[in-house]
Amino acid sequence: MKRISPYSRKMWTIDGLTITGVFLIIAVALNIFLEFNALWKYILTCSIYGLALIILINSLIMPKYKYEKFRYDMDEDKIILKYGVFTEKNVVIPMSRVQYVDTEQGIILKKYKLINLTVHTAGGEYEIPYLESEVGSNLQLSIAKIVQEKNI
Amino acid sequence: MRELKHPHKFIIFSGIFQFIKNSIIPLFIFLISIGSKIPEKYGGNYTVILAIVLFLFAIIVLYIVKWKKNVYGLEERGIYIKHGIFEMHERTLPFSQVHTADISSSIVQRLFNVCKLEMDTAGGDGKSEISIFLSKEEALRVKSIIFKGNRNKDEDEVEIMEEKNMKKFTSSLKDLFVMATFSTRILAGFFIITAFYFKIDNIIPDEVKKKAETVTGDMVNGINDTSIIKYIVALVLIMLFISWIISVIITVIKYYRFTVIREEESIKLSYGFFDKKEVTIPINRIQSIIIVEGIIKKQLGYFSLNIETIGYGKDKGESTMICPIAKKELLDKFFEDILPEMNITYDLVKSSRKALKRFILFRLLVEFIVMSIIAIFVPYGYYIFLLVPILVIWDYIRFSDNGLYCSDDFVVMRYRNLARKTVIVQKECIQSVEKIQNIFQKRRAIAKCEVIIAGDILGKSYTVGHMNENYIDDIIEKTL
Repeated sequence: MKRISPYSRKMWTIDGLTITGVFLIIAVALNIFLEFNALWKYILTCSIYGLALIILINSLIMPKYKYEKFRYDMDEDKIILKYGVFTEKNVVIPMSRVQYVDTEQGIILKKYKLINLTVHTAGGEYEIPYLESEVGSNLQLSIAKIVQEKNI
Repeated sequence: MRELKHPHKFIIFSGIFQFIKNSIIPLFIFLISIGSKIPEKYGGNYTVILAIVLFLFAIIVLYIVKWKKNVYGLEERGIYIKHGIFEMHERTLPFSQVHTADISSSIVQRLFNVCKLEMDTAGGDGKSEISIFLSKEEALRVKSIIFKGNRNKDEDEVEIMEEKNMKKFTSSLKDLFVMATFSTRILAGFFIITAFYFKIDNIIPDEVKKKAETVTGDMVNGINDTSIIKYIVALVLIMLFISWIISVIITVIKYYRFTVIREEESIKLSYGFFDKKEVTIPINRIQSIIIVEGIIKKQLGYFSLNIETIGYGKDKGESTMICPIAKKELLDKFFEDILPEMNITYDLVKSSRKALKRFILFRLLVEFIVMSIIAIFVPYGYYIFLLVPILVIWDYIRFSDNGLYCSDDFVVMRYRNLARKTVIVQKECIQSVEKIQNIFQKRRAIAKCEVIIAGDILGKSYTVGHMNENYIDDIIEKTL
């Protein structure tokens, strides 16, 4: 079983921090613009602050375990994904059902030379996040090749 | 050589009728607000009438032009259609891409001997790719050409096979009655009527209410506490009865003479009282079959059968019912006659007993929290704890209904939400398999199995929990 790039820890943390920031902005905005004259307003604002805090802690601690748990593998017949910290998911996609494979790369991902790969089937899509660029594009090519051969 | 034809003239009437139906209320409001503002000396009300007549005339001309410009033609490999007034749309649909072709006709359409032919392909949005009005004979002809083009076989052979394979299944009126009686629609109807009953107080004008009060006032004075309960019970019964009648009427109208015919490569459904619907579903588009056993219906030995297809236009995202209700013996016969491909025997593997205690305890924990909240905030809310034994029994039933089976060609899954569902999936249709387990389950080698099949927009997934880990690994091994 192969692992994803170790940088993924950093990426997940950055993601988490961004979401924390968004929630904090909402909470602060509510704090300023709401007049605190009813109970539900207190509850609303406090819960958004709480949520931001939980996401912050989550984004600082969890990426390490997420990285440790994420495994993927592929061969002629299937793609296997294994992930999840508390609830472990084990996904098997038969190669003959794969329709196409996407890769995407944002600005931050580009800087760290990472790539996100998405496998599409008729039943849904599965993402393998944060692969090293070369590994990712090689994987994409080899999956595409196998799919093509299977279909002929 | 392309031979172009116009669709049936009925489209002019139906178009105009549709337009009037949709625009009459806004038009009315518009006219009322405008009409009174035109001074008498400029013609007053006559202007309004003139405007309406002109407007209608324009609409009629528009629809006639639309009909004139709308042509279709059958080519060797596909159907060609052209429509539009200012902007011309042309479309050619290859026969091989047509997944379903529905013929439907409402009661008015039947008077004119007209049908609506709708063709669907796998992709695309909710609308049918092609929908045209044709005379009945023409529609049947087009349909037969499409599906003949679809099969690459000798025509003679096909015809012989069709005659031999005319397997039919019709549900009787009595079955429909049973179905209506136990459908959830009754409860929905009950709530709607109840809501209406309470709303009626606000709707009725005051004078009527006063009159009614003087009549009923004497009666109400005579009513004491016990008879009020009787009064309410009677009211509830009456409402239930009304919603039952409505439910029966709706069901009978919708599923009247529900007939399933097996043809060579497809199943044909036809049903409906006013709106006669005909649906053709090719066998190889069927993704899964779901046998539904409702709680009450099952006690009477009734089942219904749904199938999941892709590219089926009418109820996108919804599964298609191919057998509204039937007794067990009939169901077996149904499988033999109509769907011999899916007629398999299975021996389900049950959930592992090791998981039972934890499952019930965990469920109870969640339920307990919810119930505690209710008990605190609702007066007399602590009576809700009486539900605990019922919930435990219910959870036990749910747990023991879980089952999984896997042969070389099929995966069978059984689970219960409210009704017990048995899902039969062909191996080729499985898009992916997931094994899900949390840390507690991992220690006991128990896992949840999720099978995902293709759907129109999103895939459909079926889940069976608390199975032995090894067995799921087996299934994964076999699906590849």
